[in-house]
Amino acid sequence: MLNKISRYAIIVILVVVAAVFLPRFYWKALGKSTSRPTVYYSPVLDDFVYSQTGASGVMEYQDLSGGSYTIKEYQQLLPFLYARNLEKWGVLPESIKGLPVTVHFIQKNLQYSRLRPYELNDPGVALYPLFESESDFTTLEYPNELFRIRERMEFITAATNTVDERLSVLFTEKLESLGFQFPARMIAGNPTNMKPFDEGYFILDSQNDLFHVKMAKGQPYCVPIPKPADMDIRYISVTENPRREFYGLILTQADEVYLIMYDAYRLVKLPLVDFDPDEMSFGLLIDPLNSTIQYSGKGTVKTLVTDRAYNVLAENVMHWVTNEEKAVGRIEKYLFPFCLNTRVGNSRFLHLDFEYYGPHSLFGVLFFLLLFVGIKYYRKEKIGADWFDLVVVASTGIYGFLAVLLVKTEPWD
Amino acid sequence: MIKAIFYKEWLKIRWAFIALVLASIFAIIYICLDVRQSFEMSGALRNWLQVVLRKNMYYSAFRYIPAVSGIVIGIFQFVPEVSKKRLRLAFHLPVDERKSLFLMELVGITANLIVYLLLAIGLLGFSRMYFPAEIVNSTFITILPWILAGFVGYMATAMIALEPSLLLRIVYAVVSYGFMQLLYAGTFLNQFQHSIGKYGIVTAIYLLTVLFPGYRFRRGAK
Amino acid sequence: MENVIECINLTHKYGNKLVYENMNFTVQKGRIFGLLGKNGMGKTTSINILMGFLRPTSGRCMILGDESHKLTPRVRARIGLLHEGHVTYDFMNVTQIEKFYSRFFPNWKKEFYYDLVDRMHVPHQQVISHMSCGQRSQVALGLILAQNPELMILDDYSMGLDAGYRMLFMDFLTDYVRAYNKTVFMTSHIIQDMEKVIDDAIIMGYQKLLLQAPLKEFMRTFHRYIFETPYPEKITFQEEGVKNTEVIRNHMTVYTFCERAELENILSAKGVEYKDLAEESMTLEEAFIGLTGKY
Repeated sequence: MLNKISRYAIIVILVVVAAVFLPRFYWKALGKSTSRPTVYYSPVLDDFVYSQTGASGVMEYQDLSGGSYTIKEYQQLLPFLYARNLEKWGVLPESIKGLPVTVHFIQKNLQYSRLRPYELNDPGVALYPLFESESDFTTLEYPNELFRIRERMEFITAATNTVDERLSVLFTEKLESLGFQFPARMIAGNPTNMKPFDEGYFILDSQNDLFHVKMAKGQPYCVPIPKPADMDIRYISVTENPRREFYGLILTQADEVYLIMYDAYRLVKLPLVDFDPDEMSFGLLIDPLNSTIQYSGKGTVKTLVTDRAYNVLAENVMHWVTNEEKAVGRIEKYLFPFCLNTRVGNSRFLHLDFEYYGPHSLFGVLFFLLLFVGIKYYRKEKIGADWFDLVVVASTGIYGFLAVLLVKTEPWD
Repeated sequence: MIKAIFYKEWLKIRWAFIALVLASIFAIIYICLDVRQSFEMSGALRNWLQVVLRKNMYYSAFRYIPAVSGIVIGIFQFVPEVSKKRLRLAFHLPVDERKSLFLMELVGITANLIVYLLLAIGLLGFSRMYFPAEIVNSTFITILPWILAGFVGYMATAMIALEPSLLLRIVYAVVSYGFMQLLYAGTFLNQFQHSIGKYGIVTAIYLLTVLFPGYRFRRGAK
Repeated sequence: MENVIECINLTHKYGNKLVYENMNFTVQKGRIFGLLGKNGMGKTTSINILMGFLRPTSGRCMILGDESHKLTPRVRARIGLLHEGHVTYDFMNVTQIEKFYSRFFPNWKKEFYYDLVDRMHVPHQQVISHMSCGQRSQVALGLILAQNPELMILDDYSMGLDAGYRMLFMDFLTDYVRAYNKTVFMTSHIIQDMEKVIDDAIIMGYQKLLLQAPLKEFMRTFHRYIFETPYPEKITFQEEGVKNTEVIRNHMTVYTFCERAELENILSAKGVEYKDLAEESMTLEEAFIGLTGKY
């Protein structure tokens, strides 16, 4: 009996490894690249334009009315993005839609903010540097300590690996006085000194209240940020940009995106519809005239153009054929009943997650079950005592099929 | 009788085990000196930031040591047990073959466990002197899959040695290599934080695999 | 007389290749059985089945009441095995291996082991892998004797041993076996050694058992006759009792279970001219080859 179980233990391991690697080999052998369009809004045409790899493998530049452009022509439709090229070619206009422009002006008024799915699932260590945000120097200097926020806000001096009591008490008392409930649930900021200035951190306490914390001339700057009580914050992305329009983006559990404006921490909701932050990437492109919001994933690119107050002016949706929709992807669903993924969405963690491929796999399972019975019959082997092999093939399809045939059954005692 | 089997296993692995213990101590000292030097040269904060911002692993020398230990102990334990059909000796003893195999496996697992504990305690111990708690915790989580790979390496070596058929040996080797690749897929810290339990379960399943090849040998499979 | 080993309708195939079919034989208590057979005739298969390391395709091989491939630990303690090549745990030394095995057998007789091993004047710290073939065989035998089993199965005890060690081995073994009424089942490729020692012979041929009989009886009933005849190549024997013939020039040798008179009748019936019919005595080896053929 134990020997039988031992055989099934080997089979289970085989199935697990096959369920990870066979789908990978399948795509390695048969995968094709997908042609995802890149969409922009052209202030010259007052309409959307896009580039996409065509059937022949060459990049095509087009507008929505079917017009097609060379790369130079295309870039001229997007003066804010390609200002420097246009200047080099001597074709940069003096004004765009009435607004006088120079390369310098455009660059000062261009900002791009991104939210990538993996940021939501990123392995990290909960220690942060708190920069001096009102430094006398032009570059940001790393502090000598890193902080953590557990039962209190604690600064640990790296050189001695001990707690800096003075700083810890200073900041903790300030936070307590503002009603901060320890420990912190989320600490969002940019812990690097490669940024033009520092706005510290946006911190959620254990009651999901939001605070802005930074160090100003050595003293704690802590401000509670008013937000609707029912807003359940999932993620905050902070961007320190010289335009100083907003501190960063908030993503809620309800898949909404808000900007935290410099103006009294006002929260501005972005007009997104059907945004799936785990599968889609999000970008906010701000140029001197408009703001363009784009989110894409799962075969769809949605682009919204808004005014400065984030009211929608124009909207565009484009599709591309994903691998799942192509023949390769569809056949996969028949061949494999499920797979085990070590990578899920764009999470940077390593998983071992079960992904069911859907009812089409029943065909594959049935096929392998019959094949298995047929092979046993041809080899004149009885199934009898090893009826559980049938269960294995029936539940795991091709993986179990390979496993029970390779690790053949034995005449048991 | 159980003690006699332990005695036999110990006779086979004692030198390899002692060598591995020494090698482990050496490795820990090496990593510790490496860290010390880095702290001396670049300062503590820079080193901390390497971990926090770049998610670097200051202990990457540790990576393959458990697997090497597992495979070495497996070889020293099972090759003498199996060459020239010597497995017949073990299977003719008046002890249930399955008990024999499990006891042998227990000795190997214990030997490996001692080596891994030594490595882990050494590494985490000196880490606590240099790094804050959060980083020490991340070190622990990050070395866990490598330790699992050590156990897998050991049990796969046992399976492969015991199996009489070349084809199945290759199958076991390929599959185990595949699984170990999964355990080594991490390139920076904490990646297995949410899934280490699942990988642990598959590793535990390996404990049972040693009986089947033994059974095949017993009944005269080629 | 009880049967220590009983093989009933034993059949074995490797894939589609048949080794033998429906083989039956028994081994009685207190006797020494020798298994003889050419390479490829199923000798290795049989000994592997008897030792419990091969499960027969069909049929049963009962040893001390248990099926050979499913021996319980208790029965295993009553059986001593000598594996081909005198294989032991040679990473151990003389002392360690005795210490190891003694723990498994309550009736362990340490004196038997050291009595034999000390004759070799080998230091007890000597690791077995550093010993000669002959010394290793003595260790292996010593362990079996100390185990004090009822049945001993020896797989080619003579492999790699020179004459001196073979003789030492056999003398010690037979002494022990007679003194304690043990049963032995053995094979060897040196038939003349077995001749001196075995009580019963089991001879295997192509896909079947050719003969199981007490040695003396076999040697008494199997004859070698030689005679002169002008046209020996023209003579063929279909008779059951005639096993093999050899022709050299005008001399024919016949190996047969027939008595002299019977053979003469057969020759006359065939109208064969012959003269100088004489019986030659045979060694077991010669009888074995006579029974199974040179090729």
